[in-house]
Amino acid sequence: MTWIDILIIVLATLAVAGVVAMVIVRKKQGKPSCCSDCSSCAGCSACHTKKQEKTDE
Amino acid sequence: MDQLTFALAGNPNSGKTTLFNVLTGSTAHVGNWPGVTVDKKEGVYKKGDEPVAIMDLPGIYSLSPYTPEEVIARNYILKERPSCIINIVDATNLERNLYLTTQLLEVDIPMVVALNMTDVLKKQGDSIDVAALEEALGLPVVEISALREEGTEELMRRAIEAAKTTRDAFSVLKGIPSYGAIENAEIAFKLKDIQYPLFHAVKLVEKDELEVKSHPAEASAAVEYLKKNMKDASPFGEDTEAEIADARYKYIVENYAVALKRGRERKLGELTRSDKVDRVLTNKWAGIPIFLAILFAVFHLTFSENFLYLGSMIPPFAEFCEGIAAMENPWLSIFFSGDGLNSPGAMLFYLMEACTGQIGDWLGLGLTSMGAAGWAVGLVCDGVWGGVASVLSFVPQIMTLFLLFSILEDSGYMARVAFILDRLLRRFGVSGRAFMPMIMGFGCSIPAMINTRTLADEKERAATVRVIPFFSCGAKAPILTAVAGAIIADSANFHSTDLIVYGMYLLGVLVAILSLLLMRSTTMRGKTPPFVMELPTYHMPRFKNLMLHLWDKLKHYIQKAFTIILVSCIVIWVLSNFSWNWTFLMEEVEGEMINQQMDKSILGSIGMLIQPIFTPLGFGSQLGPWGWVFAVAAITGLIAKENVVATFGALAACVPVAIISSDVEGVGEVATMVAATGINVPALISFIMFNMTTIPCFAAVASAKGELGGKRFAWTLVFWMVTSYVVGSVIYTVGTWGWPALIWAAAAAAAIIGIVIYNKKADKKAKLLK
Amino acid sequence: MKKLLSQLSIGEGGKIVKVGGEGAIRRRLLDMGITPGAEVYFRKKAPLGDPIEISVRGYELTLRKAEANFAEVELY
Repeated sequence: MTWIDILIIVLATLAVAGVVAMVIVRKKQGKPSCCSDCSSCAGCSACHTKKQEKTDE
Repeated sequence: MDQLTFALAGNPNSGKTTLFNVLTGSTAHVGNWPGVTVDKKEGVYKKGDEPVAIMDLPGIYSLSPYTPEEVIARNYILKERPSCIINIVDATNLERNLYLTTQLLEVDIPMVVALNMTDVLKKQGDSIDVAALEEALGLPVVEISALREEGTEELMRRAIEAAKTTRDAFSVLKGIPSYGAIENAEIAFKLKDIQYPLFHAVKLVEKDELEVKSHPAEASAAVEYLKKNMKDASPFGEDTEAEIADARYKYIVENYAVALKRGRERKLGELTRSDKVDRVLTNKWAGIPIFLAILFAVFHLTFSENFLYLGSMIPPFAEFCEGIAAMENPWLSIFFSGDGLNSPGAMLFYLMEACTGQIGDWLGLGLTSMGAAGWAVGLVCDGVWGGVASVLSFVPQIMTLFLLFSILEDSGYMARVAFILDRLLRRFGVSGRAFMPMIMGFGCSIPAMINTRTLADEKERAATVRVIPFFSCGAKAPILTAVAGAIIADSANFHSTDLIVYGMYLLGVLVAILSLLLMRSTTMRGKTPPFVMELPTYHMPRFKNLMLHLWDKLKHYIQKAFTIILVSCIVIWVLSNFSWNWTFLMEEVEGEMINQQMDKSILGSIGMLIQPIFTPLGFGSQLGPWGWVFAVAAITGLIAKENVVATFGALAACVPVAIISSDVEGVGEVATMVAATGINVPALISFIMFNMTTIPCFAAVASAKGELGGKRFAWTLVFWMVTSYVVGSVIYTVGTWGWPALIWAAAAAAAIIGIVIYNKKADKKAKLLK
Repeated sequence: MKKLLSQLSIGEGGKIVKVGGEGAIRRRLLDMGITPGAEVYFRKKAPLGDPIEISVRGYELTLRKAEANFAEVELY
């Protein structure tokens, strides 16, 4: 195995781990698990208010 | 001191969100139809001395809520108590807009009136005497044009000023016969220390449902007072609802509307420019054909490879195009297909395609020259880039489609379509209003599902949420185009990609309509809800607005391609190149690393396990050794619909058939799989329709869950699975053999008869109970 | 002459004399300015004859015949 092969494996693993981590973190924050933060969407807070509601109660 | 919070309140389509965007620098979605904003949204105004929180609220006609999103607006104003209300008033529609103002006056929160669209008013030759209106209302009034960003700083200055003062509640109803009842209730509420006593008192006497429920004692006292005193006092008798609405409008006409100076007298029924356009577009006979033609034009512009049918109409041009196609130059084929000129959408597609192909080649060369092993090149070029590129290639085309839809929306035409189609949709149990979220579904199901909040009827809303995924979203467009392309590559005479794609979209709509009909006559029965809506005036689509919409979509797709899709591709590649005992399946054949035993891979064995399920749909067991790729693609599509094409992209390289020489990424790979499996055209169409109507992507499923809640959501999943399975089976069996049509027709007839009989019985029972 | 709002023909106008119906839909009609005394003008019908568009209080409102049935109009 050359260094480039190892680099590719490392990058691929990092990408998988990174995205999985991102999905988990975003889910915990109550944001949609994929896609952009849909800031321009008219119903935006529908996806984002879960956390706020909990703190309200 | 606490941070100031200003709430933007006003009628639907009066420009609240446009003002919100100007004040906070946000890019919230705006459109030219009432009901774009369905939820409150917070931003911060930073241009002044102190930051101010701005809250954009859904549009409301009055503070008596009617639909779920109107409740949001009322609750925010009453429960959160903003430091100031900015009441946006559409100057071109003063009377109706001030109706809400008279209600807001009854809540003792400081308020400023923002007179929007004054530029349009001036263009019409009219003007408003701001000083007189200010005097009459007793509120600061500021002329603004949210669109041209004029007057907004003055507005904020006055609002900040107002927020630091207090304002007494005031009712324009003083002096009407039933005001005694209002006063009594107000006193009762004051004694109980209830916030906004005047507002609640008026609503109580108006017999507002929410109010009567929460204060039954005061409500019955008010009813008694009215019974005693109202009989002869007012022409309305005890009908305070009408009396109060009437009194508000009378007050507005007498005291406020005089501030409006007409440049010239207008006759009732005078035609404006919008009317003249409407004479054609919503014409009695031409309205619906024009709508279908516009839709077709949209798909033609986006997908056609024979633009304006130039190739068919001018034979020499067709020959010229054929000659160019024969040269097989990827850069020339951006502009010309074998049949004629490419449409703008198709040009962008081939351009992107040529770029991603070039990048893929460079990647492969670069890696090889750096000494990467064959498998590593395979992972990066075929596995990852093959998948990601097949999605990226479609992005420009999706953007074109989305741009055209945005233009239709922004111009005000989409709202007309709701008007045109209401009668038709009513037959299927939903109102024309439900058409707006459905059309939004062509962009993305998620905002579309959220937008169903504008629908007043709970059952209509649930039924609409369920059929929204059938309005094929942008992420599903690649499946359509790629498979349609493969069908064309397979056929000698038929070359109209746009027709196939248009047909598929219409088929999706047809399935949606049939499902609506089925649901509204079985589990979601109920009266068709009323349809009262305001048609916006036409205006030229705003360039900035369109670009904002596009940019946001673009960001979304690119982000998705390099995160979720990329990772899915890596996982698919690993699963398809390793067997269960982690043996690497690639072998070196003639100097190239090739995976010839993909059917032994983890993915292959899982695929083969589920493959038989899809047999009735035409892409199951009958496809032989490679058929499982279709099954796997359908499953990976549940994560994100782009994955369907990406899966083909990642796996095609391993299939032991010469890759079909369509230079097109995606199309070529699907065509390869078609050649390897011998799948027939009905099965391909069934495959498209299955993916279009089955459970949507994760994100959309989550939205549906949020909108529907618990039990209804579980049934929704079942509904999606059953629908897609049935639709796929029907298309495959009928398309392949023809005669099963009889069986399906018989089954449908039996179901219809059963439903009709059951419903008649149920209706009888209901009548008896009454 | 009195007519139901839904029965006007294109180009006819008049004054609302009565608003019937009940509950949310009546509320909505009143909120939108269809109150006794309001002047209305019948503008057009949708291609399939329903819904209809009227002018009221200086703007255009679209509603179904079923809802327009609740309002009674005194013709000019």
